[in-house]
Amino acid sequence: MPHPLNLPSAAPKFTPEHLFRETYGEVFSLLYRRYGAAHQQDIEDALQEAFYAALKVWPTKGLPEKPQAWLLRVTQNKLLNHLTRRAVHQTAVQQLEVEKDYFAPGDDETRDSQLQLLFACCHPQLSSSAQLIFSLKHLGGFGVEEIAQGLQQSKDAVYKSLQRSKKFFQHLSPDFIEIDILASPERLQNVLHVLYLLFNEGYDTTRGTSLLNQEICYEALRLTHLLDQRFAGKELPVRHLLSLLYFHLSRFETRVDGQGRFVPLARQDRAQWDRHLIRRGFHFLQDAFPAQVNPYYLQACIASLHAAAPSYPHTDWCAIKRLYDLLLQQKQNFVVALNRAIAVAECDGLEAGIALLLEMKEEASHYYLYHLALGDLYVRTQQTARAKACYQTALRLTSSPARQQIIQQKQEQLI
Amino acid sequence: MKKYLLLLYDNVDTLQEMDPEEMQRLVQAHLQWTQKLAQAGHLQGGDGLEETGAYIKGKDALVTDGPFIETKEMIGGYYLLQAENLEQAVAIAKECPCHLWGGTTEVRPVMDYAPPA
Repeated sequence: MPHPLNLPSAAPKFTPEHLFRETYGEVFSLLYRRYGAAHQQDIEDALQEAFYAALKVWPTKGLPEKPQAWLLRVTQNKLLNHLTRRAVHQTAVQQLEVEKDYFAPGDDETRDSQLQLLFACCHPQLSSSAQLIFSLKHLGGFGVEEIAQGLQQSKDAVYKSLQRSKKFFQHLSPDFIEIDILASPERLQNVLHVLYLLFNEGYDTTRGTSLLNQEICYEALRLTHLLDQRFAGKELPVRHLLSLLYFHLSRFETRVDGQGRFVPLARQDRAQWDRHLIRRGFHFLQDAFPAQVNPYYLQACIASLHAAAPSYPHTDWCAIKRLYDLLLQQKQNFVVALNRAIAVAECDGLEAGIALLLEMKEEASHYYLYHLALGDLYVRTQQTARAKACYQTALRLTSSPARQQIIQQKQEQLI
Repeated sequence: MKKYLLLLYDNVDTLQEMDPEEMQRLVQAHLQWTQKLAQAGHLQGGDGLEETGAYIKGKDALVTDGPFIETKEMIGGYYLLQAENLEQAVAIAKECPCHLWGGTTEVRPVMDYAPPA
């Protein structure tokens, strides 16, 4: 018997896979840019109502041909209703009434709105944590609960941060979003840093390797690609960051074993590294030789040497050491210094690495990673008692269960 | 085959808090469910309902605005089903994905009295 409702024979799958989330970021940036920070709450409500309408209409009427355009249109409609009802923004209402058939933004406007919002929210007076949360929510379309889970913060803390940022932007001059992206090198530095941090949040194995973590990484990648397009591939640090992200992503799956335990670089199954992503990494590194080195370039170079190495021992550790020397000149950072010491151990000998770490003791002894690295070198030089002491100290210095588990794994292997 | 009206009561709080990703999962589940019902010939029609409307009461036909959410639930849509009996209609309603997200359904047989012969 033919069914009276004209529904397709199989329930359609959404393309892209994260259609709602991506559309949220796109529509939010378009409307936020157009109507201003003062109406943020109306825009958020309108988006929620549009999703609700999709839930009600699509199952009986079928998936619209252009679901993204449908959601944008319905959101605009709902927003107009909000503004009319409260009559708070006469100009916006008039503007919308003139555009009776609604604005159908091209790809460029959709992309540019997201970048404008990204540049605006990477405001130097906002903490980097607030910048990350705001970007995840309003550009990435992640929900409060997802962000809380991804960043290991409480829902309440995420919510409060969003409220603070909202108010902060409402107090800025209304054109704060119209930054000249191509001519704001300082802000660009901030944006690159936030994209880098965003990626690291997703990449940190001690926060899990769930699908959600991977999606945060891919959101950072997506935004970096938008940025690269905007600069027509001519802004080298953007390309270097892309290269770095691809090299890291190629190893995403291999950093954790079947039981969810952390697998260090030395023991990762290199056959499982994603060759396609590694090729992308090299693609963005090639032809992008900078006149002046930047931290992303150096890190991408280091990652490329790991990606190209057939095994951990057969890695060009001396080249990696030299790159860390340069990186250390760029930014004095404990993690960089620690990584350099590991490269020294592999290049110049384990004892040289131990000696270097012992020199760093003063400034580094309150980091669990320091004791972990030193302990590893003691294990390899058969100084078991010292290794045990290091692992004990490392264990004391971290409260994260996932990190403690990594240390305990090492302790068990010692016995 | 008899006709049944299936009313969907949404849990408004849950839906308002939903992440886009979760909303998409809910829409997908609904699409699958209606599509399955349509193929089996159970689905006659249905629509979603706007949240706001009017409420008209008494002999003076006093009009007030909706929504009427004293409770956390409100009617979000309806389906017209075709089923062998109430039992089958209830079995269909039980599978409605709205239950997974805090919603409630109500099945009401459509009155069907044959005129006296």
